[in-house]
Amino acid sequence: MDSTSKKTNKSLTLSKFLEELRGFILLDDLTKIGDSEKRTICRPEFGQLGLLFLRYFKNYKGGQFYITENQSDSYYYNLSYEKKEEFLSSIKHLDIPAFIICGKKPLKKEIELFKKYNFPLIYSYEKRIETINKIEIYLNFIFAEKKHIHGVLMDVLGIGILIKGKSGIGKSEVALDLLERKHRLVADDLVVAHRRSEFLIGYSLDSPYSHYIEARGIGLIDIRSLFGIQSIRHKKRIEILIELIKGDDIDYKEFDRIRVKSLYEKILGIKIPKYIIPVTYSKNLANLIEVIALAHIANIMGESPINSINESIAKSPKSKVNTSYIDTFYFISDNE
Amino acid sequence: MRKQFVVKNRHGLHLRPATEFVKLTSNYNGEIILKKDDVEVNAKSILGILSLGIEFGTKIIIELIDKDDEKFMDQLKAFFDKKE
Repeated sequence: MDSTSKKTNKSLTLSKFLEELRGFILLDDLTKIGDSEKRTICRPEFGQLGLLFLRYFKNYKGGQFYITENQSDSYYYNLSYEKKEEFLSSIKHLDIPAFIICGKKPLKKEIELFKKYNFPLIYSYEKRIETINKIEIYLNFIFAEKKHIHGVLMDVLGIGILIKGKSGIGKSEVALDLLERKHRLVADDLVVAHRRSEFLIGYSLDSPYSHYIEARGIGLIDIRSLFGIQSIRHKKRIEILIELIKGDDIDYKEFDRIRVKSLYEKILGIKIPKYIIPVTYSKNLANLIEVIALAHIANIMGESPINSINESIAKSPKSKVNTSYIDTFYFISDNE
Repeated sequence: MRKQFVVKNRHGLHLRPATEFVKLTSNYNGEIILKKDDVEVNAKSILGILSLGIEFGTKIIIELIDKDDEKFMDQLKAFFDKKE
């Protein structure tokens, strides 16, 4: 097992949520209940406000935000004070981390009401659609499935290439070779892969050593200071997986040399094209990886060598009598 | 085979202890995983260990994937118990 996986099953506290979103979206805690460290958000989606009004609590799962706006949720705003109180008391057993309110700022009386039933009320200075969008992006990032992979992630000609292999096989050396050819480093040794819908985003763990490479015989190399800012990148979509294997470990009887069938590996449920490269002496791995990236770009554009060979075979006439005649005639008449 | 350790080095696993640690783990013939919280790294890579930022008193878990080795675990225990 070269890499290890862990499904993130974590929850986020409300205080951390407010702190980390500061600067990204302007939020104001109106009620200031003061127990935001204990309140947890367990789900990256928002609750349905209408179901609360209907008092439909079947299959209710706690830990969701509710977003309201005074225009679209006019049902609530048209209620009388007593009815509002009745509504809040009917949902007070639910585990709701906070209500987020957009649009007009609520009155003091209303804030007191939420305080009484122990529901934090957070006011957003932005429009409802933008608030939802930004909070969703943040929550999806926090609750995304993550996996830590031992390997090197490089950006080669705009294609994110993850190089894997046993320790000591020469991953870091290949990365240095690629850096020499003006490609960019994303992460060495510890790559965090994180699923965003159908894509896999790779980056390095946030630490002072995030753009370092460790090569045997040299030690730690600070890529940013040696190769400049152009040689690093913070995150990149992982599109190709390359596995380096010792040349002696490969069974050439089973090794597919032409790649008639494409090889894939699933990472967090996403199929990534995989290439296995046997490592032997006198092999220029950086060059091979560059060619793989080029072939991948060509593949995206619809050019595949196997397809074009198949097409040309399909186009050629079945009987070869005529053509062979032309060929011989050509050779006879050609004086050169 | 997995075991939990507590780092007793006062400075944590910074550069020098990390190199010593990797020297030790390189002797083991097979895959080793070091785990802190929910992040797992290859215990033979210096950068992986350094980027975890392991401090004094951190609980870490070492997992031997390929074969069990009681003696090797004792060596690791002696390493983590070192105060300097």
